[in-house]
Amino acid sequence: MLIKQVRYAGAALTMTIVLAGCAANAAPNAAPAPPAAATKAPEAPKPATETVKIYSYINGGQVGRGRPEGSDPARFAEVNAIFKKALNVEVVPIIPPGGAAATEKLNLLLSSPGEKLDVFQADWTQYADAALPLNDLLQKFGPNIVKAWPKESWARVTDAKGNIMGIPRQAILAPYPVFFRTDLLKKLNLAMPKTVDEFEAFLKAHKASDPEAIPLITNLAGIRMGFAAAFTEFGQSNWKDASGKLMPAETQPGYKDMVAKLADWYSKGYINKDVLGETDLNKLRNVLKTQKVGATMAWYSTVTLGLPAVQQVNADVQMAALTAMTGPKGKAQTIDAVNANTAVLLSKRAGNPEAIIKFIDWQYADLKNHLTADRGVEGKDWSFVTNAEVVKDLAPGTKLIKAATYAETGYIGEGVLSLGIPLEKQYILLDAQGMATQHSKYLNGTISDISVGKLPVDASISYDGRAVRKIFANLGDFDRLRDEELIKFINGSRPISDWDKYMTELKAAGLDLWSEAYTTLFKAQAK
Amino acid sequence: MARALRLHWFIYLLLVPGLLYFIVFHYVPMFGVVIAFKDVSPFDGVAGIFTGDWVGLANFQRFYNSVYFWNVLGNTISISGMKLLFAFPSSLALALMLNEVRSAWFKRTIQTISYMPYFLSIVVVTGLIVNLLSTTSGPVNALIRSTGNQSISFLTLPEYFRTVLVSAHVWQTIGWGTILYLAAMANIPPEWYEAAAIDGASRLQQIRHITLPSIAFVIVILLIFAIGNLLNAGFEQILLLYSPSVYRVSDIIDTYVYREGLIALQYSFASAVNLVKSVLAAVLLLGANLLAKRMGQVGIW
Repeated sequence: MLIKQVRYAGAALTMTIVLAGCAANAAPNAAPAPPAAATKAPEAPKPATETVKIYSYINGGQVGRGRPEGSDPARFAEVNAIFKKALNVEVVPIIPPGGAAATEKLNLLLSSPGEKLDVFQADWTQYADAALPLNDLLQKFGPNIVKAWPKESWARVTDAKGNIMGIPRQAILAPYPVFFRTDLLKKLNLAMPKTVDEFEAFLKAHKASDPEAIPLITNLAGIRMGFAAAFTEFGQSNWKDASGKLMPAETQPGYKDMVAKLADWYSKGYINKDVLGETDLNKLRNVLKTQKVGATMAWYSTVTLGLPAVQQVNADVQMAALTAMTGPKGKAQTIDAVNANTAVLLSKRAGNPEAIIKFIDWQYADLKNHLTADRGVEGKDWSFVTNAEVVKDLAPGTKLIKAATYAETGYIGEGVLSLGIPLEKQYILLDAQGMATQHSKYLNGTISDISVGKLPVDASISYDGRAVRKIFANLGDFDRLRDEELIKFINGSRPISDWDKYMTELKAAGLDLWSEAYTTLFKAQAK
Repeated sequence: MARALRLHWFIYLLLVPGLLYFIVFHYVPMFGVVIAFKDVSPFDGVAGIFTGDWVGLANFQRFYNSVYFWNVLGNTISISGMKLLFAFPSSLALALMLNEVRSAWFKRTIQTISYMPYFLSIVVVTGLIVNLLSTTSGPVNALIRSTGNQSISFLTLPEYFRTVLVSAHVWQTIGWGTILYLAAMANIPPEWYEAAAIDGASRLQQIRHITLPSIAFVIVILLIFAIGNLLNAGFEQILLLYSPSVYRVSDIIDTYVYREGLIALQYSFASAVNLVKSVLAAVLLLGANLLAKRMGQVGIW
């Protein structure tokens, strides 16, 4: 009897342990569980000597720097020691997964009161409910941050009530050039294309020269921002129709011609099929590694950060940017104003907002501090170069920096919260051969030159996504329709002759409500 | 009952951990379903459940009014139906074939090979699929190009995408699905086969008249579960493989909820959509169980 009872007790204990271990994974298709237990009571102020931990969600692009798992722990500890010495802070990075899963994880962290998350990067209009207004903090502890950004950038991160919701991350820029393989242009005896027709001639020649050629890699963002303006008056911009209402870009005259051109290129095999619908730039960079790509039409860092890895295998592969391609209706690039809503945000649950702002301000105070946070230890991972002759026509005050790659140093910059043009244009980065890196050169001047493209009609307006959804609840469906149908027209799943039918479908999907929402917000801000 | 509790309390104690698990992780969270009827900001925390404004059936109406309502529902049922149509009988057929194998080592080898894909993470499997079907470096398209044809982008063309999904699902689950069938077949008395052989029955006739009727109850129960699961079309697999080019044939309720709920921060709307799905799944499960009993078979309850 005793042995039986011992056996039963043992079985019960084992089952409890097993079930407790399995309990971590909820059924994926159950109705969503409510958020975790209520927020803890605020902790008593810590003594001044205790190191402040800053829990930072690393979605500023650092994981695209060759180490998706994050920095080498020892290297990261070295850099953290510098932060600790300077300001008594320690960065605790939260590494996101790739692609859309990064947004999912961020949303889950912000929705879970028990999770620690102090600072992250996002479109403030989507996360205003989760972000801390920074007016007082910036005034008291962020003078260098305030000085660094122009007033137009601050206007883009300020809500209708005057609350500054974040620190600007991106100004209004020209980040969608077309990059061409200059070694292939030379091989094919072609000059750098300047027009859409010359672009097409290059794609055709490249395709003919190599049966495995991938003439062009592009995605929806690249097509919209880097090509649409060549065929339309306003580019990838909301525009005003005859009655003064804002309408989406696809409805403007000429857009159909752009789509027809791309459909033609797709049918001829000029456009890579695998990445057309991709948002993850690393997937485009992977195709770049095949060394078969002739041109890219995507966010600039697809090439500037992806090409070095290709050149490590084959140094002959060279690419150069064409920022001011023209087409039937003028400049092809649409200036990027939408991403000017992106900001470094402090969570409302941030443990020590004062310390975080002081840390960011420290980075803005001196270029050296920014570079330490971004690249690592001075003297070991990077250093100033004083007498390089290779880079000409520098703006006054531009510094030259020599640095190993992120993969080589093992530190990918989890500590940096000061990325953005104000600091990045202050230096040119030299590579191991002493040549200015393409990424650095692009940031130093090219990206800020907005004369190369068409400025959107509503470039100065920040659309609050919540306000849009209050008027047009099914905005997500409408945006999906736009993405889906554009791809279908380009890949031939849908004939161009159906374009007018598509316009009718947009109407059925809520075009009028979309127009009402955006026009209302435009008028409110444009006053 | 009281006497049974007193005499066998150790055995009842074994039930407690399981019951606690279901109560704590499945029943208590059901209270959160109320956010489907409210407008709750995800950043308000638990307090939001109580302070959010009541919107009644507005979220459900919004889903119904969506231009994609019939599309996501249709895709969910189509993809699940295709997986059921191909994977369910495949496992049964493989189990029947394995049951006929006399060589023990050969049988074990085939079983091991067929089970192994089931233990691979879905991320690994989708990575394999992407690499296999790549238009630039995949062996499948290399073979196609060697015949003089152009590469086919299987993952971005709607006419191929569902075939890829279903094929991958069958490959990954066919071995695992045979386990219960083989266990049931092992309980069939061998004398029945001997008697049938003496009476002149062929192997196929023995399968038809002995094996299949003997495992009919297992088939029915698994079919009921599969029908109850009809609205789960394989969220992780589709999420990792799909793209805007194939939304029209692959966007299911779960991926729609993922985009609108987790990515677009519409938690209330996503809860409403998921609640609709849960109710439909419960109806399917109850219906399948009732049908099974009406046909004289054993149901789940």
